[in-house]
Amino acid sequence: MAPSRGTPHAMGGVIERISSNPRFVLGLQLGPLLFWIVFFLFIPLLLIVFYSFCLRGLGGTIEYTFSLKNYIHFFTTPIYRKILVKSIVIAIEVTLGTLLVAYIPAYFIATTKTKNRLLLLILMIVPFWTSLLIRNYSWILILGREGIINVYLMKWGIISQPLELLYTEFAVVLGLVHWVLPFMVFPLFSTIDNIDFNLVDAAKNLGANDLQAFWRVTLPLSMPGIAAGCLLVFILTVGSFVTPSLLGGPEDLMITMVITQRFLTLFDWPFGSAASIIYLMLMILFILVYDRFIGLKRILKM
Amino acid sequence: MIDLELKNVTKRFGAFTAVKDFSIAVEAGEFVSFLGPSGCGKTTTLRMIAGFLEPTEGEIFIQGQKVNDLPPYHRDSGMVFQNYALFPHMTVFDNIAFGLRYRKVPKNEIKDRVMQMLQLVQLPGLEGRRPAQLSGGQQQRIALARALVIKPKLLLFDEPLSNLDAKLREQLRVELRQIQQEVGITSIFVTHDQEEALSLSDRIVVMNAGEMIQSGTPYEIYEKPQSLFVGEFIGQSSFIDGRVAAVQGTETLVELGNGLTMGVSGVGAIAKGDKVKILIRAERISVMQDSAQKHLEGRLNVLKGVITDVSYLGSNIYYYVRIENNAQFLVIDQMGEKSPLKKNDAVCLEIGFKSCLCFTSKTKGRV
Ligand SMILES: Nc1ncnc2c1ncn2[C@@H]1O[C@H](COP(=O)(O)OP(=O)(O)OP(=O)(O)O)[C@@H](O)[C@H]1O
Ligand SMILES: [Mg+2]
Repeated sequence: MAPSRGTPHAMGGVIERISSNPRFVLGLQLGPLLFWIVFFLFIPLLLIVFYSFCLRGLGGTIEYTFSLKNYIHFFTTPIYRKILVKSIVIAIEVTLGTLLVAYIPAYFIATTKTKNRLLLLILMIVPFWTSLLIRNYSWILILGREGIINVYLMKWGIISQPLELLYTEFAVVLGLVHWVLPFMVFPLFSTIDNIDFNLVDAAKNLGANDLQAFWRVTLPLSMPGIAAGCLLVFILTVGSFVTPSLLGGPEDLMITMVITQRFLTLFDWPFGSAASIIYLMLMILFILVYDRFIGLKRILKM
Repeated sequence: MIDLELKNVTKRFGAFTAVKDFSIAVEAGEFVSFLGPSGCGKTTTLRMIAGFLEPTEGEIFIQGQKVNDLPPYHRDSGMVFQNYALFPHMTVFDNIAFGLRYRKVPKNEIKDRVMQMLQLVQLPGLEGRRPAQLSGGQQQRIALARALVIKPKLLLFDEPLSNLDAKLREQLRVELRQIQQEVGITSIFVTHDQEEALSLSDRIVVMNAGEMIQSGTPYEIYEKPQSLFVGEFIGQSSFIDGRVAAVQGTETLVELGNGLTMGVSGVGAIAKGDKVKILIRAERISVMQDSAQKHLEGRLNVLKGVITDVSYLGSNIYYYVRIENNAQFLVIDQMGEKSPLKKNDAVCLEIGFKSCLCFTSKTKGRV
C-alpha cells in the first residue's frame, strides 16, 4: 500500500524469485564442486592425455606431435607388462592380508560391550598420526639385517645367518598392510556393527556351532563391508609409491614407480603420461568389473 | 512328563539381579506364558532356557537332562524372535532348511519337510523368496516354520507378535494356538500383552522385577489374583481405598469414607480397622440412569455418581464415573440395545459382592 514499502518489497521479491529458481539454487550448490572438478581434475587430466600423445625430444623437451608410440612402447616392452602384473599381484596380496588382519579388530570393536568403542576406533587410526615415511623407516629398523627380528633370532640361536626380510615383496606387503589397515577396518566395523546378532543366536539355536554360525551368517552379512574395504585397499595399494620404494627390492617395482621415474629422473613426460593413462584406464576397468559383479550401489548405500 | 524344569534359577548381571529364584515345571505339550511389565526378566529367563545366557545360580532341565553346560546348538529348542530374525541373505527355503542341514537330514527329506512346513503355516509357494520380500506376518510364519521343522523339544517365543498390527496379531494368535495344538509341542511364550497370554496359554506366569509373582490358569490369574500387582496388571479395574468396618463370616463390610460402605466377599486374615484396597473389574459393574433406579436406593454396593467422561469404542463403551466420595470408577458397558449415557448424567453403579477383590494395604495380598 504505502509507497515507502515498495522498494524493500521489490528487492525481497527479486531475491525470492532468484532463490526460488531451482536452477539457480542448484548452480549455487554445485558451483564449488564443479569448479573443483574442472580445475583440479579435468584440466590436469586433459594435459596428461595431451602429453601422452607427444614425444620426448632431446634433453627432456617435448615434441608436440600426435603419436601412439608411447602406448605401443609400453605394451610391447615385456618389463612394463611385468611391472603392471606385479603391481596387481602385490595389491591383491595386500588386500587379502589386510582383510584377514582387519576383520579381527573390526569384529571385536563392533561387538564389544564396553562403552569406549569410539576410543578403540580412534586407536585404530593412531598410526596415521605419524608420517608414512616414519612408519616405513620403522619397518626398516625391524626387518633389516641388523633389525630387531634378526638380532633376536640370532641371539637365541634360532638362525645363524640373518634372514633377508627387508627389500623383499614380503616387506612391501607388510608395510602396505600397515598403511591401509584403517581403510579396511572402518567399512568392516560399520557393516558388522549393523548386523543383527539375533541372527547369530537364531543360527545357534537351530544347531550351528559358533564357527558354523560365523561362516553361514556373520561372514555373509559382512560382505558389503568386505567389498567396500577391498575396493578401497586395492585401489590405494596399486597406486602406492612410497612404501614399495622404501621397503621393496629391485624386483618389486610398481607401476607408480615407473611413472615417477619417467617424469622426475628421465624427464620423459610423454611416456610418463601414457603410463599414467594406462594405469588410470586399468583402474576404471577394474571398478566397472567390480560394479558388474559386486554392485557399487550396495556398497555406497552403506 | 515334565519337558522343562527350572530349579531356583537366578541371573545376575554384575550387582543387578535380573531373575531371582525362579522355579517352574512345564508339562509336555503345555503352553506357558511369561507375562510381566518391561524389564521384569522375561527375555532373560527365556534366553537362559535357550542357552544364550548362563544362570548365575540354579539348574535347568530339558526332558530330564540338565542343560546348564549345554551350548544353545545342542539344546534342541526352537526359538521365534520378536524381529523374526530370518536370515536376510537366504531364501525362505534355505531359512527353513537351515536347522535340518546340521541334523544330517538327507537332501530329499529336507525338501519334503520344508514344503510340509510351508503348508502348515499356510504359505506354500513362497520358498524362493527372500525375507525382505515378505510381509511382517509372513516373516513371522516362516520364523515359526523354521523353528518347528527341526522338531525341537521346546518352542520358545519372545514377543513374536508384538511387531504386527492389531488385526494380524489376533489372526496369527489363533493360528499359532492351532499349530501348537496340532503339533503338541511344549511352548514358552514371553509377552507383555495380557490378552495374548490369556487367550493362548494353558498357564500364565506373572513376573515382576525378576520374580515369579503368580502362576496359574488364565482363569485363576484373572479371577483370583493373589496380589494387588497381578490384579492391577491384568484387566481394567478401578481401585478404592477403605477401612474394614465389620467381618461377618465370609463377608466383609468396608467403609469408604464420606459415609459410604461396600460389602466384599473375602475370607482370610482381616480384622476390623484394617486398611484395604478394593479392586473392581470395569466390566463387572452395571451402570444405570439414576432416576430410573429408585428401588435400589440405600442398598449395599449401589453407589451413586456422575459420569465425567465417555469414550465410545463400538463393541463397548467406557464410562468414567465419579462417586460421592470423589473416587473415580471405570465402567465398561456392553450397552446391548440401550442408548448410551452422556457426560454429566447421574448414575447408579451396582457391583456384585464377588466382583470386589479386596487387598490389604499392608501386604498387598488378597484377602
Ligand atoms: N546383558 C545384560 N547386562 C545387564 N543387564 C541386563 C542384560 N540383559 C538384561 N539386563 C537387564 O535385566 C532386566 C531384565 O531384562 P529382560 O530383557 O529380561 O526384560 P524383559 O522382561 O524381556 O523386558 P521387555 O518386555 O522390555 O522385553 C532389565 O532390567 C535389563 O536392563
Ligand atoms: Mg524382552
